[in-house]
Amino acid sequence: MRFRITVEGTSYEVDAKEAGGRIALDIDGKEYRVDVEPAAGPEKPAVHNPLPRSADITAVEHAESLPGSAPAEPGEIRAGMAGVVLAVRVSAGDRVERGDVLLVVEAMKMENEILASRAAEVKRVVAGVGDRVAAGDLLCVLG
Amino acid sequence: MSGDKRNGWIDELRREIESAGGENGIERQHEAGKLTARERIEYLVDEGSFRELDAAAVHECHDLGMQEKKYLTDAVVTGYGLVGGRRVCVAAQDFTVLGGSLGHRHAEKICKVMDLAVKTGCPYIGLNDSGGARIQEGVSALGGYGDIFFRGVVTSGVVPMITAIMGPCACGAAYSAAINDFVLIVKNTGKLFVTGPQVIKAVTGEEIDAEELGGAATHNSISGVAQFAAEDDRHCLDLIRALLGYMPSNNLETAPFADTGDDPERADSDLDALVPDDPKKAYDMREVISRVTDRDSFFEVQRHFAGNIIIGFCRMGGHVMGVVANQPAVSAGCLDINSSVKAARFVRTCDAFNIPILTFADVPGFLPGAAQEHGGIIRHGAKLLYAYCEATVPKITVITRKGYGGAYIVMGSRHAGADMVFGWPTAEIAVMGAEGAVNVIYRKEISDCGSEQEKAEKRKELIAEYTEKFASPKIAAQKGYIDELIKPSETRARVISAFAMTRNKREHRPGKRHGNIPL
Repeated sequence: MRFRITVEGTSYEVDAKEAGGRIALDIDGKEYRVDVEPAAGPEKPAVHNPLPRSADITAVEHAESLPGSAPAEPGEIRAGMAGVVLAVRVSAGDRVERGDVLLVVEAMKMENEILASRAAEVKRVVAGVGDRVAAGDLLCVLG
Repeated sequence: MSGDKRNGWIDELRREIESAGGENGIERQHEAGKLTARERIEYLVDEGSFRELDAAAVHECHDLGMQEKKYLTDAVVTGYGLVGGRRVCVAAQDFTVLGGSLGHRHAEKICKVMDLAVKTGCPYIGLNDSGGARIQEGVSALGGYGDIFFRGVVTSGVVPMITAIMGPCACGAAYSAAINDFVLIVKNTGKLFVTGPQVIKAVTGEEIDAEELGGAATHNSISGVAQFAAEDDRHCLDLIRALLGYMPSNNLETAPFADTGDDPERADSDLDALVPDDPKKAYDMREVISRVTDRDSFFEVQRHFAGNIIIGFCRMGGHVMGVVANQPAVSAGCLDINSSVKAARFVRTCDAFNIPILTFADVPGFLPGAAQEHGGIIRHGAKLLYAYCEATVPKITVITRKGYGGAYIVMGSRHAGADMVFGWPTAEIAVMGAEGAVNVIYRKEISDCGSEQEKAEKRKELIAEYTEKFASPKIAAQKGYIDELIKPSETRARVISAFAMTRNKREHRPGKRHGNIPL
């Protein structure tokens, strides 16, 4: 990209190119290589919605989790599909964070990772590697 | 008579309307964590744009002491206003007046504003917060519900209809929500059920509280009745405003364009490595969606239900599209009863409102099992097939990986009427997976092998042969089932181009009263 810049009354012809993660500046025929980093974090993109109304709309996110009624936050982790337990990644007493892999169940030609829906302690692991499980079978229990 | 004298009582009337619920009622509403009907409307619409209709309405019931309890508005605030500069019609039930109970005049007001929405072609939004039918009005109240339901059905597909459950909504009233295009429920305060906890206890003996029976979590994650769960009233109204940004005002318009500033030609090289080499390894389809669509434009619908399919609205080059995508990271992305119904309803919503459909297909098949078969996966899966085939909006499909069996056909395939189909190099389209296919086709060859080891080797060899031949998009491309094989990084530009090409397409179908979708 070519620019014309003026510094204290003197005008320079500048050509800027990206080169190996740096920027190559050609200023009146002389080449400079400079490291460039964004000054702040990534710019927060605007929500593309033709509904300007203060800043509210940018805050529209889904409810991240649903309230603590039993079905939404089960302590009992059950198989969603019939399959074979390929791996058990936790044992009783382990602390898990939301999103940690508890077990891997192969079903529908896929190694399905069974994730913790919340941070918890593993109370009990019921399924073992190689077990054939049916949909709804108990795999493990979170505290 | 001077103007002041002549008009003075209008001011008085207006004051009376505003305070119909009384100080106590408003206070109790706030204590329950709820906004009042008027506060909700004010928050929902652009500032100062609301015009109330029928504020002077009062009920005409003279029985059971009701003649003493007449309040202006009859427990519902109706009117029209602007959302993002576009007109909408609103009815907000006012729990501070007679518990928001629905009588005949109350229903008439709702019907009037629904009719206005249809006549003028603008969305209808219902903010529900009502104790139910006004029992003292008897059959007139029931008739009122019936009139609302009927209008809901007649209006369906003409203008978008959105209902927010911001308080109780029980018995028949639940159906006025169910008939709408979108249902939102506010956590802890919104309750939606046909029969409540007390009735259930009396009839079946089950004990269940109202939140667990019909709260936001239940209807968003178990029953599939609602599309959105909101943290509180304001969040709920924000979601409605955001949703309206993706909807046209009526079925003759297209959804509003918005310049997102995202380059239509933007190539995302991370996409090229996103699908794992091992077809048994999952990846997150949300990642694909967010990288292909206009930056931050994806607005997911029904996020908490049937996670094996993802639906929602996005913008592509500023134009709205509806996204339907299998999610390999949940239940392998298979189609089952819930995911089929979820996607089918969304495809029809898009088709009704001129919103083109962008499908990302990676589907290993329909979920096997007696529970699914006995639960009616045939008729429920057929809904999705039906919806795709029936839709005449532009349909653009990207096959990212698996396309197996009947599920391949259902997921926006060329055969289901897609206008443009793209295949990633990782696409594999076949009647069934290699292992299953080899076991069927070569059963004899395999059993003729002597030892178990020979059998295993033969099977492995045949699987490799099958995979080489069929687990690829090449044959589908040769046959024209895939229009173009593309690099994943090129997806965005290709889809936008395909959309520009098909935007004004016309498709004619034989005339009929209506099709007969397998409900």
